[in-house]
Amino acid sequence: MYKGSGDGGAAKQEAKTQADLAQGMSTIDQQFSQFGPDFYSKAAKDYENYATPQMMDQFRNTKNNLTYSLARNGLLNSGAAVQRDASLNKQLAANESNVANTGQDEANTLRQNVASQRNQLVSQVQAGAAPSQIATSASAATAGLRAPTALPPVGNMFSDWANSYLSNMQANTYNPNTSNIWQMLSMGSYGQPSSAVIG
Amino acid sequence: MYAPLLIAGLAASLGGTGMQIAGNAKAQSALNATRAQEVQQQAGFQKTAQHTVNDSLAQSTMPVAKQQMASGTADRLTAFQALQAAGAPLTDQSGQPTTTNKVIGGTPTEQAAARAGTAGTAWSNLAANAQATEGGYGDWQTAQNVKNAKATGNLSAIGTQASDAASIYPIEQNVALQKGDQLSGWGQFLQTLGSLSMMGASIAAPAAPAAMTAAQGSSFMAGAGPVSAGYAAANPWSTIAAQGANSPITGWASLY
Repeated sequence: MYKGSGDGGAAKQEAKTQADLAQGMSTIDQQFSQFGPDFYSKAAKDYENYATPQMMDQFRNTKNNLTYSLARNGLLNSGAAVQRDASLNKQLAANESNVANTGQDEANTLRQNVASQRNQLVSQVQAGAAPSQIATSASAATAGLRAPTALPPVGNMFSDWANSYLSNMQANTYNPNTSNIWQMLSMGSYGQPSSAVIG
Repeated sequence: MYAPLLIAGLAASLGGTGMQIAGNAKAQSALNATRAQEVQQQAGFQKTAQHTVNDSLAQSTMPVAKQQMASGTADRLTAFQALQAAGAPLTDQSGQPTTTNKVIGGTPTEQAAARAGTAGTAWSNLAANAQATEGGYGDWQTAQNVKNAKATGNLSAIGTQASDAASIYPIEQNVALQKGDQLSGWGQFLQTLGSLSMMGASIAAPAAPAAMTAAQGSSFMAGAGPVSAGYAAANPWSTIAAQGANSPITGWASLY
């Protein structure tokens, strides 16, 4: 650009503004380059590592409790036990799927947070923040994004299944119209709601 | 004496005019350069912005959407399968038949367990696939949102740069216009000097003609006009006076 004298330093100021903006954007890009696919994969894995032990612990407890219950009734090696196992394992698979998907969702939330933080910094650059200030802000923002966050509680992942299973068992104990469990199992459960298998 | 002064004045005046023209040309040249620079800079911003938009649009196509959804689904299924593999040993902890402990043959209970396990695994895989596919849409949306947010931020920054550059363009134009001021100033000075020299030359010129004679004076006073004898003979006023005496206007209008 043509830079003459006698412009009150406006051209020089404008050139500095442009340079600051470019430097600020470069700083932001550099700071945020650490948020690549590996970072998000690790975030998803972190959630799985957090939730899986809890889920498996709950599974083990639920299965043990129901095993004892079946044993007390002399049904350990029975159709009821088979049905219980099949249903519980399906519930476990559903929970594993939930954990896997929640992990990916957590990673997506993090992706959006990173994008939001980046845009806030870009806004600061546009507003004329000094490059040194942007560097400090970007460093603080990225450190905050890298820091471990409070993960959503796993909750009791098998209580609904256990309650539903026990309720059905109790309700059908003396019900002469209860479906034949062997017939149900031989049919499988494709296209049928889980309650049909349980009940 | 007066001729050299007149020539010098004329030369200075011409030189001054030339310098003023050169000054204006210099200013115009600087103005053109400023305009060209600004246009070039704005074109650069526009090109960068266009590049950003194109890059973003290239990531918004259907093939990319399918690829992102498939990738998201695959990630979710991989995570699910890894969890299933990790949790498999626990599913038969109590010694009861499970989906991972299929027994073909054996007692009716064991056969039922095997069938239930196969059905359960199939059901779980179907459900997990469906859930992962559903999640894949979310992954695509997230990828698009992130991509769009980044593009918007970058475009906004480019817009700010372009706006900043354009905001000082009028100032740069003024600066460019002043580029020829010095030359024009000297030219004006030289022209003034030339004018003064020519004025001085005219003052130093030979004496004026003699004063009018008494006869010329009386003739002038009588409306004969200029004082030269020849001119007095061709007095135009006398002709007009003669025309007025023979006015063609008659009647009451002649009163006006």
